Amino acid sequence: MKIFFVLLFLSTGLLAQDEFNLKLKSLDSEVLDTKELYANGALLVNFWATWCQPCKAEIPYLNELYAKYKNNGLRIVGINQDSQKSVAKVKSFVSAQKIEFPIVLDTNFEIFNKVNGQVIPYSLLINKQGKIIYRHTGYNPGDEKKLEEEILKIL
Amino acid sequence: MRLRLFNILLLSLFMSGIHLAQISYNISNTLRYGNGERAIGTTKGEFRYFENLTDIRLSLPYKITIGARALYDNPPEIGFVDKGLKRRFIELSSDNYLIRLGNFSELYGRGLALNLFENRSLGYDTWMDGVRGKYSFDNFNFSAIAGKLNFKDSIEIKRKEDYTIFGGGIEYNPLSNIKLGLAYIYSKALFNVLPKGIEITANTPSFYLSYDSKNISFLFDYSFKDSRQLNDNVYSKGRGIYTSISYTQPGIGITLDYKNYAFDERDPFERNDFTRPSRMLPFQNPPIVLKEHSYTLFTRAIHEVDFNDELGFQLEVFLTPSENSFLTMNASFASRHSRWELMNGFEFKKMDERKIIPGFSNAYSPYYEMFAELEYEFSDNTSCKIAAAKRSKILANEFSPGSNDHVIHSTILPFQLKKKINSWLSFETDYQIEFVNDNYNTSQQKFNNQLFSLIGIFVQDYTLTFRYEFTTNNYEVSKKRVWSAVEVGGRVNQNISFVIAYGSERGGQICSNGVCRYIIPFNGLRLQILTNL
Repeated sequence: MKIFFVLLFLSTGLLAQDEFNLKLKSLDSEVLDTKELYANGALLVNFWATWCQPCKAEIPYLNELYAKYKNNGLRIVGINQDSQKSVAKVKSFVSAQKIEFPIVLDTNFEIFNKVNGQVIPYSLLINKQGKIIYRHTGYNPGDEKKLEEEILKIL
Repeated sequence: MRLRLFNILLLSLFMSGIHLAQISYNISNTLRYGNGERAIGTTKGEFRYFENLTDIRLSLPYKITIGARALYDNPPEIGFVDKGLKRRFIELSSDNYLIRLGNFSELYGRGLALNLFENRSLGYDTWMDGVRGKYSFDNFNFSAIAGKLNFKDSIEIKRKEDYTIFGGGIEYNPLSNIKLGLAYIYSKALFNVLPKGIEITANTPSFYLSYDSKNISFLFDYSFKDSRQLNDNVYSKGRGIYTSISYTQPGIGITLDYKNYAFDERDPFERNDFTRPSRMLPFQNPPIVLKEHSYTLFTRAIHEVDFNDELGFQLEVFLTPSENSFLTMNASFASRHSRWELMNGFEFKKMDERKIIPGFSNAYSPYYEMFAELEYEFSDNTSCKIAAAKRSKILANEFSPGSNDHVIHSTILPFQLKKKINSWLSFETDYQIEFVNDNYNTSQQKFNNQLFSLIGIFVQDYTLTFRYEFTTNNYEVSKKRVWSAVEVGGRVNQNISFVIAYGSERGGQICSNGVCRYIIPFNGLRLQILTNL
């Protein structure tokens, strides 16, 4: 245990932040390669669930950002965190909300664990080089403005 | 020994990684501290908890990932004292294969045969320690698992079970929108019950199929459990069925799901023995087919699903009537399969079994809920949400049927208003009231619970919350009538956020500072710091 932490401490200067390289399958059975998505300009990955109130409050603003900047290279992927208890209704919710960006099911939280996610909503903004340059936890009214500023910095 | 080997392997990989200078990392830390008083019933006592978990993932060359969790739960808020290196694993993965040594979770189908997961807020953890592999080839996906699961129930603390599990699954996509799946789990377990433990073996195969088109989705999952107690050569069999169908169009989504779980139907004498080896195994976890709510009053006194003996359905409709509004409607109904009659005062006889549709009479212990919620956006700065729900929960008293059944009816009305004043100030107010009729509250069958909260949000990053809860129930278990708390939350930067709360909390699911979590009854100081690098 001590060796583990000493190595970690010594290595922080040598380590690079994780790249976000995954192959995902959307609700519409489309295969998404995150490398291809962020190569366009920017990729926003948003972890959310149908039972999470702040997540649902944020979604319409993500839809607006997607409509506004997709022609400038912004891609958004919503990674749903409903467990198998409630995952059956995700597609219904997505259709009813008219969500335009692709949604990926993460029923076993594998993707969420890959990024060491702690709470939702949780957003990651990835630049053209595949580096996570901005993280955002939670949603308060007005957060969408800050998110838009960060997106514009890299588009 | 295993930890030493893990460290040596880690050091070797790390040295090669330094040489190639291609290691990337991901680190998160959660610190939770509480100091105050916890009341369980009328018993109060000082309670302090301290939990810190650090999750680390290192991505190395050659598609290798290693990870671990440094855990310090001493004492934990829920569950058992635990500290050390957990969740450690080494994984080799590519587009079409994965091999993982160490700790892992897994899900087959909808979880009727296997669903390994962790829920820290409930102190529930069924992650395994062993090996997991996946391989994809053409239209096939293969997976296999082997290892150990040492299960400890943090609520039923007598329940300690050690499993050795082998299993696997095959999925086949004959067409892009059709999936067929077969899974099989073999387990051998030691139930640590006095005086000498019980050994069992169990087989849990499952079959599932799904169909997905643009407008219609369908899924069917079937599993059965066949277990044998080795000590007494006693067999028990059970089965479970889950199915769902959805219809979607832009602006509307309808989902109907159905459950029929009979993994271990038991009479009222045996039903509440949570250590019995014939019940559904801890690594099985099917869908609950009930709505998961985010309103605090809804999350209390919810129906506790009995996966060993329950059938029911849920219908949920999402609708966008206009650009500014969103409507949700939900109805669910469930009951036991059979009613039980006490014969000669000594044994129960199963009567009138329901094969497909739940039973409506009190003798089947039915539960139903109807819920509707409308969200309306008046402008970019103002929105509101109003909802209504009616619930009925009946627990049949099979020992003295009829007038001694426990009947609880409740009507819940929540209302929420959000208002943005300007670019640096917003507020949110939430009011919920629940009218309850509980026949076991003999001198006061009718009472109500009310909750009010006011959240001020400053420059998007800081919140100040005031929460007040009140009950008119003279028979409230804790003997309290009022609970109030103040909470301050903040995001220091994109990597660090915190929440500090002080006061009394009745418990339930609470969303604050833009995130949601479940809180158990507590009176005192709470602190949470989240860090992500």
